[in-house]
Parts: sequence; C-alpha cells; structure tokens
Amino acid sequence: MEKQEKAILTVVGKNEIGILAKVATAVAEAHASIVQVSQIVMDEFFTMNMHIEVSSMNCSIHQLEENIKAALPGVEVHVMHENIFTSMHSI
Amino acid sequence: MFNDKDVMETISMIRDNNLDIRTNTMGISLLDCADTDADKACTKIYDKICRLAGNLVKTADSVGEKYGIPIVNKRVSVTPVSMLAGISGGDPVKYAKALDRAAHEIGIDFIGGYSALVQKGFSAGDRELIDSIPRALAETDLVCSSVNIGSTKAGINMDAVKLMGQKVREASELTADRQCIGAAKLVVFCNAVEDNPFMAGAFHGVGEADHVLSVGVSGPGVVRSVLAAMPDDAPLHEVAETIKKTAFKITRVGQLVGSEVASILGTQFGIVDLSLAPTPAIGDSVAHILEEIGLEQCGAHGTTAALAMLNDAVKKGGVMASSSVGGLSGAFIPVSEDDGMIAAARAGTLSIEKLEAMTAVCSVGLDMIVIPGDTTAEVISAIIADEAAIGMVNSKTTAVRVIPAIGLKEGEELNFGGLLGFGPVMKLRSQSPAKMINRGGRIPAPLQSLKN
Repeated sequence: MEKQEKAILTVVGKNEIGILAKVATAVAEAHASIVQVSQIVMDEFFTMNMHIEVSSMNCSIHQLEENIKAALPGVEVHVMHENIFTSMHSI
Repeated sequence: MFNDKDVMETISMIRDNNLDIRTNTMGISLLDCADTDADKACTKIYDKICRLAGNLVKTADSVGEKYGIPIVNKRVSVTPVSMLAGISGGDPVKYAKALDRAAHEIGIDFIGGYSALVQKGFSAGDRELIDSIPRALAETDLVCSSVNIGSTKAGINMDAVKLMGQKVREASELTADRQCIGAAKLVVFCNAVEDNPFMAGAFHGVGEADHVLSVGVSGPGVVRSVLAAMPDDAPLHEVAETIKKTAFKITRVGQLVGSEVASILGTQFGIVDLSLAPTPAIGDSVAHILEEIGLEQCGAHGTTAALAMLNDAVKKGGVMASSSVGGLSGAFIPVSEDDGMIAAARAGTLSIEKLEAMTAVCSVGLDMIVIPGDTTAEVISAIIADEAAIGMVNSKTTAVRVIPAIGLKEGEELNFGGLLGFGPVMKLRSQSPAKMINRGGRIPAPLQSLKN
C-alpha cells in the first residue's frame, strides 16, 4: 500500500451557512479524503481544523488551498503538509 | 496528532512572520573538470553543473510549494576556481564566464566559488585568479567570489590582505555604473568554511563529497514575533530559552525541506546552516530582534551582549534540530540586507566600530557595508586585517564585504536591489594605515593554533 500522506486544513473566519459543506466539496473534488475534523463556532467566528489524506490527490496542496479560497472569499484558509507540523513539534 | 495551538503557531510563523528557506545550495566538485586546456575545462564545468543542478530550481520550487514554504534562493557552489586555473593557466575570467553561463542556463540566483585560499601563501593560479576578480565580477551577472586570507592555524597573509584591499576597490570601480555591485559579490574571509551555503562566500571545499545539497534557513521575523509576545520584564535567560525553542523549529523546517530536495535530486544532504539571515523585507530583521530584546535601536550600548546571547541561543536550539549542522551557523548582520540595520546606520546609531565589536560574537563579519567612494585601498586592507585578526584569535569565521561607493560621500546611499538591499555610506577613520599594510609579510599564527 502506498504511504499515507496527510495535510492539515484550517479555516478561520466569520461564520456563514455552508462553510464546512463548501470545504468538504472542494476536498472531495481534489480526490482527498477527510480523516478527522474539529470545528466550533465561537462569537460568530468559525474555526475548523481538518486532517485530510492527500496521497491520491489530483492536484497540489497549494491548488486545493486556492480552490477553497475561491469558494470561500473572506475567510482565512490554510492547507499545509503534515510533515511541517511533525518536524516542528516533535523531536 | 498536534494540538490546535501548535498548528496555528506553525501557520502564523510561515504566513505572517516571513519564515522561509533562504537558500538551497548545491555544492559541486569541479576537480574532475580540470584540464590543461582552459576551454576544455570550461566545457566540462558547464556540462557537469547543468547535469547535476539542472533540476535544482524546479525541484526546490515544487518542494517549497508542497510545504507552503518559499525557498527564496537556489544557488550552486563549486570547487575554488584557482585550483583549475592553476592547472590550465591562461585568463581565469574564462572560468567565471562558464560558471555564469551555466547559472543562467539552470536558472539559479547565484553561483559561488570564484575563489582562492591563500591563508599561508600563493600557489599556482592564486595570484592570477585574485588579479582577475574585479574583471570577472564586472563581466558576469551571477558569479560570486571569495578569498581566504587568514586562519587560526596559519595566521594572516598580509600580502594577500594588501592585494584584496586593491581588488575590492577595483571591483567597485569597474561596476560604478551599476551601483558598485562588483564589490557586493566579493568576500574576504579568515577561517573560511568549506560547506557554507550562503553567498557571496560559498565555495565547495575539497574535503566535501562530489555533490551535496545544503540549506540555509532564514527566520528573524519569527524570532522577533515570539519575543514581542513575551512580557517586557521577562528575565534574559527566559528570553534565551524562547529563542532556542524557536530556532529549533526553524531549523527543523530547513532540515525537512533540504533533505527532501536532496533526495529527489539524488544527491547527498549536506548541512543545515543555522544562521538567522535577514532580508530587506520589513519584519525580517536581526536588528529588530535586538531591539525587541530591549534596545532603543540596534547599535546602542548593550547591542554586543544582546547579539552574543541571540547567536548562542540560535546555535543551541538549532544543533538539536538537525542531524548535520555546519556552514557559518550564527546570526548574520549584513547592514544593507537588514531593514533595522539600515535604519540604525541612517540614524547614526550604528557605527563601523560597533559593527566590528558585534562580529566578535556572531557570524560572520563586516558584511554589506557601504563605505565612502574615496576610501583608499590601504584603508580597506586595514579593515580586512582587523576583522581577520578577530577571526584568527577567536577561532571563528570572519569576513569583510564592504562596498566603496564610487563617487558618493557619507550619508548618500547605494541600492543593489533584491536580497542585497540598500544602505547609506558609513563613516570611516581617515588616518592612514599605509605603512603597516605596505610592510606585507605575514602575521604569525597565534598561540591558539598550537592545539595538538
């Protein structure tokens, strides 16, 4: 089996209807699968942390980020490869 | 798995605080390109560089994109060209042009190694190469040059120091119509290291493997912002601890990106250079870190102590983070490449004497300092000698990269553009050191050299 590669997707911004749905759609269209999601709305602010499996993705991580940004103008979106977090936060 | 705080911290380091990889530098040995016919040697050099580093830019960009971390510069360093010039004889500038052609072909930012190592004396090719440096830098775009004139083991070659004062001036004069850029690509070293990925002083030492990939990280913006979040009355050992932890994280990113680029290119991973390298971009300044530690402006009394602590903490954090640390490793203080240093120099807070003191406690030396256009070659030689003495006695690398601003006076400015930045002409002492410089000879190796 191919080695799994994960990325972490974060979304922060003013809450509106359908943010999670739009993100999930973009992730599915990129052929990535969702591993875990934590999401909360606090004082009208939406924050979400999503772990996705990206090894069979049909576009680059950067492209996925651009796609989500295009679907959700006005909220902050970051998609970054898991290795960055692993290398920084574990010895 | 990571907690949300770690995730947000990493994202803000990269997106808000300019964390980037300063350079991926591929070191390439040219020893197998040497030939008694200079033209044949140049063809072999061009071919070897294009073959090994042809995909460097593409690979670095794709790894950078994968991780969302920009790799600002891609560079190549080569075996000191004086060795090849010594074998072939003839005009060494041919080699510079071959390097420049290869660099343009593969799309890198700089190529270093138009160099000679003469700390104890000149051998075949050394004098010819040194003589040709100003012309080589004027007639090429991307070639960088360095000369090692001293070491703790060998002492200081004062004949070479005298010569280099003249060459720095000539390099500036020949490029006076281009902001004196020639001198900005020329470094004079004491205790030069063989695996330095940073320009203009990078060359590929003869003790290195055939080809390796080394990484220089950046990250002053990240350090400044974590310090800004600390309370103003936090004691200095806590400040040092925070810098250490941040340096660890920055270095880990360098290690990750570098080893991945190396593995895709099929080359050995060399070293991570643990240097905090500033850029002229706002918020990416070593001077601003010192100011965040608690100085009104960089150059104030206390600057040397703050810098010593910063430099040490960066090394302590970084050394744990990487399997292979090398290069210059410390905090850089290039004046024209650092927004805060430029401001301090303009305000007159930062003087050349203070910079000299600072170089005793950090890497590397008097770097990217614009000096008056009428500075004599002897004065430049004397600046080189002073700096080399600091390196020799303290067993550390020191360097001089000063740019005589031909036609400009104190207070006026040169602008090199890009990462090289811009800076005001700084005041020097005008009394003549000519008698000492003209003596030539050698400053014998200090007692520190007798370690065996």
